[in-house]
Amino acid sequence: MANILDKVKTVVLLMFENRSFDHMLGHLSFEKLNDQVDGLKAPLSDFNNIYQGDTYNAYAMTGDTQLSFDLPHEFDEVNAQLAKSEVSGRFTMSGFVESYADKTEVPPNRDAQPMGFFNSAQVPISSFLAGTFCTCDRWFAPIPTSTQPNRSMAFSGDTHHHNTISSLINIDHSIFDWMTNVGIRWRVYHDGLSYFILYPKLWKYIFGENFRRYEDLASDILNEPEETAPQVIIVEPSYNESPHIGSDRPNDNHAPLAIGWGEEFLRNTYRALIANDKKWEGTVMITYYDEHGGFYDHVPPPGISYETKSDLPHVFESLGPRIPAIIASPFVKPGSVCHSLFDHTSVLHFLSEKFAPGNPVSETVNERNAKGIASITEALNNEVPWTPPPPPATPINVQTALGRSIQTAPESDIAQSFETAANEIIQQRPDDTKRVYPELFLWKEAVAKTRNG
Amino acid sequence: MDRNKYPASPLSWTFFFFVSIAFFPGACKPVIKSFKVTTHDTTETRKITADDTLKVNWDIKGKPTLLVNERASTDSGVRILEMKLVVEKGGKEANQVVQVELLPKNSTTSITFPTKLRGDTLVADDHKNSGVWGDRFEILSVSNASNRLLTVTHANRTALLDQSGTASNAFDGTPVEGRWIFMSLLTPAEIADHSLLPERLQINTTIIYKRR
Repeated sequence: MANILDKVKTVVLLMFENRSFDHMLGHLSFEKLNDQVDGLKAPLSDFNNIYQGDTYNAYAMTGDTQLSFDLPHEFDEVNAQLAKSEVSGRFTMSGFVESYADKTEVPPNRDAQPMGFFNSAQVPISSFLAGTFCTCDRWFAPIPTSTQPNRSMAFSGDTHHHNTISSLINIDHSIFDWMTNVGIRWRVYHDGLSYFILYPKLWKYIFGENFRRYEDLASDILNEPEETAPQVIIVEPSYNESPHIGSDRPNDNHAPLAIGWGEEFLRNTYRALIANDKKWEGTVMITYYDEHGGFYDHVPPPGISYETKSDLPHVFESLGPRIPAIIASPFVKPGSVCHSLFDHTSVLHFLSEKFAPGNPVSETVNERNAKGIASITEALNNEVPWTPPPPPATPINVQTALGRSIQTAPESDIAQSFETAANEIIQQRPDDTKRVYPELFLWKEAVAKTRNG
Repeated sequence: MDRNKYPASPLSWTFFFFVSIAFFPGACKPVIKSFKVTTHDTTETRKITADDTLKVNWDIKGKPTLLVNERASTDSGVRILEMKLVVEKGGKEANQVVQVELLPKNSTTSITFPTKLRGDTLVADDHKNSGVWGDRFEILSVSNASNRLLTVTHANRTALLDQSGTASNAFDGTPVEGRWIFMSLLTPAEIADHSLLPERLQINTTIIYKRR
């Protein structure tokens, strides 16, 4: 294992938004593409929810279109989805439809939205990468709640908040501080506004040279010499909830988005990484999701607790539902499945093992490791070089043009948070913002005109 | 499954479309405030049968298009009428989908509730969703699907269902919707070990469509 770790030169992290394992990758076992995966299986009536006497089965969705609703996924709603049995104390995972019906106030359809899953043709790139490389079928969100706390756990190893808030986010430490301090070369490639602008303590990095446009990724991978190339790369999609201008379209897979644009983004990222054979030989590409987004998953999360780092701590009794996670690398066996228990802190533990042994990103990462959450290192067990196949070239058909209206005030907390952050960086760092995010000025002008009539 | 009991096509159904569209000149985003499918007496439903009549109502901001599709469920073969309301405004789209199952006059459905413990008794109770079932379906018979003795209460009637699954007509003529209560005494083994307790109790029902 130490030998493999020595060979790892580049770790690439690509985190999408809000989909569950069964929703995205449950088809691997259902379609018998890989029987080792703990996904969905026939009969689908074995994978069901109950709501007011009726049973709602998992079902294969018929197309990739914009969904009717974003699904509930705040901490109290996730609690309802886990549906802890009063008699057994087990999470029955049978409350996703109930949570959805309560949120939408609409009687659920027979094909209830939370129970839908994609087939391999609808998510061709995710399915290809999962089938070609290593599928992680025991990767859970760190805590059973929404986007911001889970992303804070992913990139800080801790969170102050137990829910998604509409203002800016405080953190005590970050992966960027840690990487800078231990001397890791790192870079963020963002397609649109970076998620990290929600953290004022990170603005010093966002406007620095380590944050680059996604468009630069392919040429940097191809041309940058190994001595100066980043050792850790974070690739950010364009977020559905962030301000958009012009042709920029969200591709973070946050419901109700269709999934096609995200698949295209995944294909482009993988294609960019394998374009340089030499660099790929030392690359570990991790594609994962921040949380399940309210979509059904059948595996109960383990009871590993976490207490938030706030003055009024919130205690979570378990991990969150499983998320889709794929490790693409020459260091995984082709078509393999890793059943090790992972959450987002597994990545932080892995980075520490590889680049700064004995120097954890946070104490919480070590504590969680001691409670049984493994390092990504467990998935890296192949020392035989192999050539990565090109991704499917099939055109991805997104049936609905998407994108939030710039004229409309944000409705969700995270959209409000993005907009607050955008306005704050324009006000406090105008020169930097003009240099890095010039389109935000156009966005602000357009918003001002339309909202003021 | 008797195909003759199903409608030949959606065209044999009568639809009444009540459209109320509100325009707000300042708003550039399509909005679906409500999208409801009801039977003629305004009861919302997701289950209908032959010769039934549906009303489709919506309250929106934008230009509506209603897409109607009829297909067979891939697992059970039940016919599903799917109505997708797409609203366009300012170059944006919003959509909402309502699926209505087209049941034969006589059909079956299960009723399943999560369990809780009350003393030495396992209890499972809730309402069968009237927003899904409307008020047109009545019980013909019920049977036990829980492999244990069940006391079932519904519509002011109570019956004991043995675990053999024998059909009982104790609830004949009562509506499917409304509150159901299932109760079952714990076995000595379950009293000693709660991990043996079932997390759900279930009965099966045979139902019939009745125009009231």
